Amino acid sequence: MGKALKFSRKNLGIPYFLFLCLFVIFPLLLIVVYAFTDGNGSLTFANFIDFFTKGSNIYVLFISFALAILTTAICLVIAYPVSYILARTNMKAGSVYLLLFILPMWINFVLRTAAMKELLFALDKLGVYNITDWYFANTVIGMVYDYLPFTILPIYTVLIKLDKNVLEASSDLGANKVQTFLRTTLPLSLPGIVSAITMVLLPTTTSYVISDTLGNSKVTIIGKLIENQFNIGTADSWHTGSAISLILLCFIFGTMLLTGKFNERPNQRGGGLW
Amino acid sequence: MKKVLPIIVVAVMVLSIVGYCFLGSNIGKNSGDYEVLRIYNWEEYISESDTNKIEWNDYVSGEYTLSEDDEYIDVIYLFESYCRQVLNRNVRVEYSTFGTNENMYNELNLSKKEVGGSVSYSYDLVCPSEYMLLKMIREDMLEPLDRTKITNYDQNSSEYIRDLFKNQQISCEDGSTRSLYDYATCYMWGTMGYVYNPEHVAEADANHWSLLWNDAYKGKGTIKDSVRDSYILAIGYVYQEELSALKAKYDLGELTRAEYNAQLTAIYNRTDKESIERVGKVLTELKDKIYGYEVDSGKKDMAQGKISINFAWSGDAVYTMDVAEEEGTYLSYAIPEEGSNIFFDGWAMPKGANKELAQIFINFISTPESGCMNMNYIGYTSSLAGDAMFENAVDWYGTYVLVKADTEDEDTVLVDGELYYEEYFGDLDQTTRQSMLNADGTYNLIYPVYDDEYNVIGKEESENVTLYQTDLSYFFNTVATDSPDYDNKAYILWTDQIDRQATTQYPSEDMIARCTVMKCFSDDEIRELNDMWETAKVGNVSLVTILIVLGIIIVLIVVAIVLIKLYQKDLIKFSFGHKNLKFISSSEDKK
Repeated sequence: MGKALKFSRKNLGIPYFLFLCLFVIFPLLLIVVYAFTDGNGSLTFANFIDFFTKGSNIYVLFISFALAILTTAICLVIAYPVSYILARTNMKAGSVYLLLFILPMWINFVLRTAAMKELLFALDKLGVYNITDWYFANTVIGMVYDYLPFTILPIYTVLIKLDKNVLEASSDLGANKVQTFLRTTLPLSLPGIVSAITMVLLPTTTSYVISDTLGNSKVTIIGKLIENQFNIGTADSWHTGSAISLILLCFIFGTMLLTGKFNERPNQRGGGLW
Repeated sequence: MKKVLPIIVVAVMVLSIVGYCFLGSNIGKNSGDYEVLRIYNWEEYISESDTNKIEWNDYVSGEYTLSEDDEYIDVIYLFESYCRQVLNRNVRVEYSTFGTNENMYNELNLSKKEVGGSVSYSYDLVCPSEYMLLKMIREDMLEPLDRTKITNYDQNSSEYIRDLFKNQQISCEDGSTRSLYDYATCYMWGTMGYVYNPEHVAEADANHWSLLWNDAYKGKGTIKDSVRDSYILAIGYVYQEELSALKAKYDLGELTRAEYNAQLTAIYNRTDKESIERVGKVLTELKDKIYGYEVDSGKKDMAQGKISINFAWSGDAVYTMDVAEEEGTYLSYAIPEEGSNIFFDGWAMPKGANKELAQIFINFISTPESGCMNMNYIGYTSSLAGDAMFENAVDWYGTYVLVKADTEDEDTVLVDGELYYEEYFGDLDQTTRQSMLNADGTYNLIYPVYDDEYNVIGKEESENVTLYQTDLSYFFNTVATDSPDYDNKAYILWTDQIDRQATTQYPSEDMIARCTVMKCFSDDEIRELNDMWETAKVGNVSLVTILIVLGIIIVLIVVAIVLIKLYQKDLIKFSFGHKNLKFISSSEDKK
């Protein structure tokens, strides 16, 4: 019986395995193959050399990561207290508030971005904002607005699961509220923070819809560079585009390894999405 | 059994998905019930309607009613019905759309199939712009047209457009030179220029490409987020003096129109190092002077008054003006003095297409009736000309007046107790026109007032109206001037509006003389231009911005490190606390 169950369990994984092969591994391999070949299909490193020898590309890379880090930081600063408060309020009210915060997630994000643009225009008309010149700020606001729910949710999930006994133990051992927070709650919620970072950092370097709509296309992020390569229609543009994607992937992977380092804790199980 | 069942389920799922992907497109084609015509066109580029699906016989006899909230007829459905009722063939159109020429090209190439040396693509008819058509001809992707099958197009299309198509030639890989005329029919065409709000922008400024570089309009305009289009604008600015000198020469009659246009075309198609460098410089400068780059949002922003200048295609310009007009803003369109771009979108058949059916469609869409329907829906200018198309233009933009009638007949109307007949100003005889003319060249007119069904129900007298007459014979003649059928008919549009929809859709011969076709760039040129464009869009990299951003990031990282250090110190100081955690998490595990 036990054996048969084990087999069917394994079989249940087959659809996902096929999905993984078809839609994750295969495309990734394609990107790698494209990145290291030119329009004629011969092996080359030119795509990478070209990318790093062009000054504007380095600047785009810098701006993309600056934007991503800024957005992630602001998201965390806003999301952490919110999740903390939400996790501490009694269940019924808490879930209603949580719903309010993640409600925007159910609305199409292009629509949300367009709505944000209208809002900023209204502010501009009132004279408290300058939508034309502050295009970088527009983009950051838009990114924060769109990715805030993705930050709140993982942190909230971790905080709500936090054992009250630990906190009690902390105060029993003589820690005041601030100390309890800094030494117990914050470290224990790190997995949530890391998942939040993972969910925000990568998309913000590539979601050029926001930078196009709110940044009036004046902010070029790396996702836009990739899109552009896939749109110019020369024989080797797909190869250049793939190389840029691969470079981005490497950078993101590096960042993830770094954030992962902070998250290495003994006996850590579950909690985060990662 | 337990082991086999899931595998079968999964296998069936996968096979059906794969099967659908590979065979799906052929299922329709092979079945005997109906024939499929696969059309690949620009978005919003044919008259469409969810409610007005009208049968061909009803359409011909005029026995149909349009729904109240939609005045357009579904042309695709009409074509299917035409095939059913006239040709007695069951045709189903599979209509898909694309957003950019390059997307269309990629999509087409991805669907390329080579069986036994014959190439085929997954579409029977595509409608890209002229440079993409030339590229496809160069790469031998298109089937030549059979002119005996598209007689409607040759009869009804403008001689001027056909000539332009004949002049568009490209040398192919096999050494031959092929003409666009043999592979594609023009569907719509247009120009590029500035849409501007005359309340905020001086007309004299809008007549030059330098408008956007003018500090008086800083942050007020947008340009296209596309290197091909922006290159025109920048070349026009960089070589402003040369282009103006050229125009002055032409105006003085020192150059013929053909010479002028040839020299202009050469300037606009410059892709030497120096030109690209200079263009890159002015485009970088431009970044700080415009509101932003756009592809589609410019129309809306312009109509809502968020921006005052929009570098636009003429069809979009017409749409923008229409929308703005509803909100009470009257926008203008200018083709700068230095010259501009004229572009075409044309129907062509990729290799392996159902040529016979595709040409029936081209023939169908080349009747004045469908030309009017599509043009009124899209806003770009149809390539079709002739009397019927001119009447459509007059209906839209011509000035109609009321003239006193002496005797009552079926055409006269009784307004305020007096007899009038309604007439297009251009159709009035010379003496009647003279009677309305003032000494200063303006006219005193009596405009008709209409009800919802365009019946005259009143009149409105207007004094000192300026009327503009534009000779559009160059476009509306469908027969070559040297042909024996040429009847030298003058198509003159009398209108009381200038630089608005009428001029945008049908520019005068003067304006069109300074419009040039951009060539189909080679891959190397595209790459160079694109590099220039990407650098220009990044703009002037200011050290201050980098330092500020870098500063913020460093502060953030320092804060993070301090927090982590705090946490790590905590671990060292209160090692028993750590054990506590261990205990709790392991106890949690047991639950």
